[in-house]
Amino acid sequence: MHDADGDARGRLIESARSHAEAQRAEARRLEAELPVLNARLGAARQRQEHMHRPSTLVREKLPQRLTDVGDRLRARWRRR
Amino acid sequence: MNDELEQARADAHAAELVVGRLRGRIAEFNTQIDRAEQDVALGWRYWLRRHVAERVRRERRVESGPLVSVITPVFGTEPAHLRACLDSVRAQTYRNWEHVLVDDGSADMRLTALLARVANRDARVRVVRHEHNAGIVAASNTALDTAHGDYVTMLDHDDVLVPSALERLVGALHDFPAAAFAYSDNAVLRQDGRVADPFYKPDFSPERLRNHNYVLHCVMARTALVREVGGFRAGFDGAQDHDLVLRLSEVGNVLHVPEVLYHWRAAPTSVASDLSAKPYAYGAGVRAVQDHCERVGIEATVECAAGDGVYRVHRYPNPDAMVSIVIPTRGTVGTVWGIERVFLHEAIRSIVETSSHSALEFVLVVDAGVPDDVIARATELAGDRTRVVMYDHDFNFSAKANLGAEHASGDLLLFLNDDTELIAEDSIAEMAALLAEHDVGMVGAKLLYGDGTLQHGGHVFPGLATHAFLGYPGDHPLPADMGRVARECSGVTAAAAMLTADVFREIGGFDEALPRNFNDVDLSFRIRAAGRRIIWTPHACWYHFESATRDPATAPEERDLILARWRTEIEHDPYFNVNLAPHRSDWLERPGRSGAPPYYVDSRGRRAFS
Repeated sequence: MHDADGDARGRLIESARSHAEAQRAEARRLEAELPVLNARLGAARQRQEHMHRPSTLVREKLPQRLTDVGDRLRARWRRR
Repeated sequence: MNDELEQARADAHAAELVVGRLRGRIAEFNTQIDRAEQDVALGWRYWLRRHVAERVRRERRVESGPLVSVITPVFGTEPAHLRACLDSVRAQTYRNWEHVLVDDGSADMRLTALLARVANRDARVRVVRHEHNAGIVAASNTALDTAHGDYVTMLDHDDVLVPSALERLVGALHDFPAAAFAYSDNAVLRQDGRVADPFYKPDFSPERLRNHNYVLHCVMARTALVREVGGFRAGFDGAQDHDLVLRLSEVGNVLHVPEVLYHWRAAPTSVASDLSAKPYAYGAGVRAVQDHCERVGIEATVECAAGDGVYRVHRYPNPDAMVSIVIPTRGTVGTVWGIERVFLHEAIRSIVETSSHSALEFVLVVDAGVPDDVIARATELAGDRTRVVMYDHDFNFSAKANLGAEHASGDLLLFLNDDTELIAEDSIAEMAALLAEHDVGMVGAKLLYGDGTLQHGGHVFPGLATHAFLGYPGDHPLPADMGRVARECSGVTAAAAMLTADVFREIGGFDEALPRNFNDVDLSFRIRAAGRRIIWTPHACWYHFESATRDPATAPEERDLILARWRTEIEHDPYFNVNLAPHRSDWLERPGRSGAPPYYVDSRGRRAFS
């Protein structure tokens, strides 16, 4: 690559610059994937934790479920 | 204009490295997500496997067999942790043991009282007291002097054995009388009581043991042999176990039991939670490895630059060792970092401009049809010591490499693909120095893709050959520092592999029945079958723009041939581990293994099932 002269060198510079730009675009695309993967990992670890230690499932999920049931009952009561 | 081109090339390279780092992080994410999801996917089968199997195992009782002495120096630990340690020994399925505890001048009366209580309750527990703290080496030697067992196993005062630990280790040593000691896999007992971070180890890997104490704890050795090698050596406090296993490895075989038999507690001041917690230990470790090298005849200096228990064994290079670099080439032109190049030229240029080893000869095996100006420029770059060998047949990598080796005059042969670029200046010297050991058959290098992600970290055989941690970030330390240490592996790629000309001739070179694929796998297996080790080193490093120059598809007949010839070796890779998921090269454990078993050790040191 160091052996090129004149126009050829100009083309090489242009090629390298366009490659760099394409890579930057690729980097932006990949960066956008990271938060999604992070959320997936968090959810997967939570499921794993719940399975390994069901008490955490009870502690974390049961209050939420009870709240949901309460909300549904209240909504039904209001409709009457 | 030249500067402008250099700048543009550097920018393109840097941009690609950023992409590589992101791809590497995504590869890591995928491993972690799969690790979490596979246990969940097992569902009730996970529980069956973990709970029922474990409970059944715990109910086993092995009453007879050789006496095992568990030796534990005690000083300044939490009583709850010591109680967990003591309980784990009492819960062993193997019953013929004694537990020798040396209270190394503890000022904590709770510890003294606990030890007295346990000794009164169980005659198999014996406590010896040092009036003053004498250090872990002195305490360990006191325990060793007092031990009556045929086998001795070391257990830290806050660590925990799994119930089948002694049974499995005794079984291993009993079955292999030539073995000096046996070690197992282990996991970390976190401060929240969870067992995590399992370390699935390879079978005995002597080069790796020089680079760090990967066998860690839960080593069971023959007591007579431990005494014969002098027990624990004074002055090696903190690395006394590393020093001992190095000396034991010099006098006998070493066994690996691929099961997590030991939980290493990550106390705030322990090495399990902070690798820099015991800086004095690594000074002792450097001396232990240095002494070992002198005993086994390795001329080297040892250092621990990062201060974290990973040692670098700098072997003295022989600057006069002539290395013939055999490069089979078709004179391919391709684009790297946005700029077109003749691969061969840049491979040569990078070595000529970068390598610290200068006793080099280039043997270029060139296909017919490669333009004369490409050959002329390559010869100009490589200098006087160049041999051009013409090859005028159908493509056959093995035949080309063998032809190159025939024309090479060096004592050492470096097989190198033309689509490479040298990164680390000491690569060739490092590989040559490793080959100075007579039982080292071949040395491979760390290869990176153009975006800096890992292309080759040694072959592994979960299924057919693949590369360890393919696609991970190139500068990643990898689990258990695999990316930082020179270590044995089952094979290395011939894209950058060095061996002595004598060994190459002795084993008959590459098999020309494998023209495209698996020729390096076959060569590696033949080298190992001849009793030689293959070492991969991260201190030799090239870019490898793989498959830029050839079709990556594998031919079915080559696949069939390699399976017919080496099926057993492929299915039992000693440097992989049966606890790891087959068909994965990222050390993902098999589902339902011990990554996060469903029990905790509560604040009183009891195992609690939730």
